[in-house]
Amino acid sequence: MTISPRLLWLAFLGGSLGTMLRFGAGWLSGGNSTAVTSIVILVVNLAGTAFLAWFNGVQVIPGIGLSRDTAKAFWAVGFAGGFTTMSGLALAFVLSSMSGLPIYIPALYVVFQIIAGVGLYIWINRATQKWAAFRVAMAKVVAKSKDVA
Amino acid sequence: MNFPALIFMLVVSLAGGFGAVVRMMAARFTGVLPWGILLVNGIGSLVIGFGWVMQQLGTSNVALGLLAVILMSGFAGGLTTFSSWAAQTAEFVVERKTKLALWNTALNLLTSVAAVVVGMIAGSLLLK
Repeated sequence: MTISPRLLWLAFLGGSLGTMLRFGAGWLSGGNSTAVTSIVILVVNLAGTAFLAWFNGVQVIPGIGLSRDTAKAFWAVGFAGGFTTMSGLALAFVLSSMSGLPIYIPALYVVFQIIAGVGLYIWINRATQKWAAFRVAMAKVVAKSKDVA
Repeated sequence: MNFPALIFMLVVSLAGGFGAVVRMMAARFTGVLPWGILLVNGIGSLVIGFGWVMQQLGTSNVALGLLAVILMSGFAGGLTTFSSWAAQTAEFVVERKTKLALWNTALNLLTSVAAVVVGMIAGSLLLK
């Protein structure tokens, strides 16, 4: 993807939207404690990863609008990137470790998030690609049957 | 949510948008591993560590506390990304490049955690 001012602008808008939703989720949770913030970060990171897996999965449909660079800049780079946070995960780990909890609890939190994130991405991306390929195949069958008729 | 709170939320969101733009430009730097994403995750974690110290001081200084939230939830949150890291690591796993997947994970985690700690130390030295 060649970066143009238009794509940067779209990434900015998508990033703003993703950040707003993440900030809103934190605000709605109403908690200032490290535990609540950690759970919000976990949910947000997994939801954003699932969205990106779906988004990248539907790219196999030829000619789909979502495969345009503009859509990728807004939804993948901007929205999914802005919604999820690695710095929040690292801060949650450090604060939990400093809070006096046994170190294995924050370590398990990070390990779970890593395994769940990568596993969720692979699973949703594969499922979406299969669904998209089925949709493409069905569209071809329908087009063929129309030609025959 | 009242009007000032909405305006504040908008400012935080715009800071996140700015972070996303910086990330998009940095993501071009890639090689065996996605170095650009590693770099922004490290820098964003440094910022969030620094911002955390600002937030602690913000209990007695409202402006400092608000700036800390803009930096932490806005800029650092928008700059760093979990989903891109997960997508790239998943690709390594699917392509059976296990070593690269492990390196990408270890480097992102260690860099981010270390950067948070360094940011906290820097914040404590510079702000207190």
